[in-house]
Amino acid sequence: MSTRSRAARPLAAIALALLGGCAAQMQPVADFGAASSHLATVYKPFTSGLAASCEQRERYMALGNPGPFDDAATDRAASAKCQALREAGATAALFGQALADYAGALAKLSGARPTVFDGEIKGLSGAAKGLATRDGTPIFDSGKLGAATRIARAAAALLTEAKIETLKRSTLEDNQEALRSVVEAMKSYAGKVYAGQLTDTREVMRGELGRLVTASNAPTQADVEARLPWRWAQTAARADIAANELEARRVRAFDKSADALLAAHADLIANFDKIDGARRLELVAAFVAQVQAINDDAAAL
Amino acid sequence: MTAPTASDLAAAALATAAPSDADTADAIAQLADVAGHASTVLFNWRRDNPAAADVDRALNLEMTLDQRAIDLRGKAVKLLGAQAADAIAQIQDAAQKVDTFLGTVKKTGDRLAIASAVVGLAGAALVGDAGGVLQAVVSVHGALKDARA
Repeated sequence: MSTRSRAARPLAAIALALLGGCAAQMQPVADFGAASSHLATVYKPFTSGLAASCEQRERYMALGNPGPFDDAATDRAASAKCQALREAGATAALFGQALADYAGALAKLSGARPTVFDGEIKGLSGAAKGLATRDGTPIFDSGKLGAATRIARAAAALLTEAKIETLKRSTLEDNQEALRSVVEAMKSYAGKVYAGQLTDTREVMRGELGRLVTASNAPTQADVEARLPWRWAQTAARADIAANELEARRVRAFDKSADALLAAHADLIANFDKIDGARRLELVAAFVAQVQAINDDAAAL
Repeated sequence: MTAPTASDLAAAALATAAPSDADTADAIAQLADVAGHASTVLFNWRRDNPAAADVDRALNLEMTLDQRAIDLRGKAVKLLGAQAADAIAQIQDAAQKVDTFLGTVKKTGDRLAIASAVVGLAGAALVGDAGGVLQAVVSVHGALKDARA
């Protein structure tokens, strides 16, 4: 071994120790990024769910209307009627993508491996480009669109400059308000618009299920055969109602999780210089548990 | 301290009158829910009373209410005019009263009248004219009063 390489060894060890220490210090940032990304993943089905729930309601209502009935035509009519909600859902989806982009960029920039949800960290989605083409909706007005664009662009900038710039407290501070705005908009969408649509659909389905039960009554054995279609149909209606109720539970859990995430981001800023991870992971772990409980319920269906 | 000018007072009045985006979004979401709920109440009534005289009218109202709910959830609404904040408060108040009361209305005519008034209110909100909203709210209260009598 040469003298030169022997001299370099302690320097390399110091550098590695410093890098390792840095990675450990950034662990909460990595976990925050991964948890945010997971929240965006949980939110994603809500965005297509709005129009899907509207269409389901329209199909149920069409079953109860007089006149000829063609299942395919009913589907087309429902799709056309709910088109505006499909577009609103597409805008809502861009907010989730912007959050995921920001989260992913933070996780990568932290240099640490996330301890939770690391499989859900994805590359940039290009949300900023999509957001530029959207019109406002009641929930996603121009101010909110601007906030989502800001964090999506911040994510792109962070990743582009990742090789020359390390994560700074100011990076988090600069995006705190935009992040709050984005997450609040996502909460409003989920808790007001989507939850309202789910309720509308559920009420119609429950009414239909009640009528199916009534129609299934066979006063005598001779009546049973004719009632079988109504009896069989109850299973599908109950499954639709159960899926709707489960989705409503997810929406309620999302609200709490989103609050925890905002608190965690603020906490990262406040304690950036003395990060030890435990406090922030408590907040993140709370919503991990919530989402996992819901997913367990879904798996049991 | 200098006395405020007329333009200061006008600016202050406008600032007071302008509802926040969050308030508007809340009220519109609430109105959308009421439109959807009213549609469901009519649908269930029509399905349970297929021989009733007004089922065709109920069907028309249901379809319109459904469309209004979709529009309110999917389109940007910005209430304009000096009475915008009042209009937001009135929408929320009327929506709350209809939601609470509609399911308990016994007479078909009253139920249809309330639903019709909600259609009018939702339409006015979508146009974005605060004055129109306040007029439509009067119709909603009138229909609720008649139903209670």
